[in-house]
Amino acid sequence: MPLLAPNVGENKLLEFALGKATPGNQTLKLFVNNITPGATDVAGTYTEMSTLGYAAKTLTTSSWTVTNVSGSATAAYAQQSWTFTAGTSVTIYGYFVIDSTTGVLLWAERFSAPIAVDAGGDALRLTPSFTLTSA
Amino acid sequence: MPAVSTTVKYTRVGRGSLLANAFGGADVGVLFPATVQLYTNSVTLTETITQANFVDLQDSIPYTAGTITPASWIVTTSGDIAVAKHPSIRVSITTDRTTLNANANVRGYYILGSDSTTVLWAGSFPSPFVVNKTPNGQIVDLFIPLEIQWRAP
Repeated sequence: MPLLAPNVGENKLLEFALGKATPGNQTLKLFVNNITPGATDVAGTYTEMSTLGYAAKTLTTSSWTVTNVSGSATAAYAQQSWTFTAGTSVTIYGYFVIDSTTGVLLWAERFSAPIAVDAGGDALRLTPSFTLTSA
Repeated sequence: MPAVSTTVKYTRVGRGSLLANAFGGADVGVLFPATVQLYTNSVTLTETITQANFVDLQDSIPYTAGTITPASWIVTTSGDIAVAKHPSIRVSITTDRTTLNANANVRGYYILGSDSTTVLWAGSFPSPFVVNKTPNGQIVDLFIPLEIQWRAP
């Protein structure tokens, strides 16, 4: 599924881009409710994983790198990984990113296929990136 | 005191700077404060355009460039599109027969980043705005509205 920046995320990112507001760190979270990201989503739309040793990841603003190519610019972050502990099986449907300061949902993405975590030692690796194109 | 609409083109570096600023990245580059300059040549706006590609109105007549104030952007949602509007930028031109050999055609504007050399984006007017050589000393205020739209895929 493609990444989706909901309305609140688009607005916040545009405010950051234009210097109207200052971005803080972001928080990367995994969601376990079976939904498809939509334009009117907010952070509360998503049910964050809470078991199997899971913890959200902090994405530090200064660690994003931006590259420019013809027609687009991409912000990329180093790969993030979780290694889970044993416990009751959980299905992870995707991830979402919030602005750590305001709690505003910036974007979300549903995985192409849900990921079932059912054994200690299972791992999930995710490389955050965000691409901006213009006409 | 005319207000003009424009067709806008982002430069590659401008787009990257805006994205870096959105994420607070280390390579924000040269964004704000930015100034609004006027150009007079007939040039095709591309994402690789540079300051050298523009003939600035300053070459033929003095004017006071506009300034983008980040705090003045107003961001709203229109449908599923985020729209940022800046209050119209005022650019004042004073006609001066001693420097203006003929009427000047202002064909658009370009935005220079904080280093005063990097073009972030540019806009062309639907038709040139003519600054008349006479009367001498006339002050012409040009008001340029700025609007940026972001839409999620």
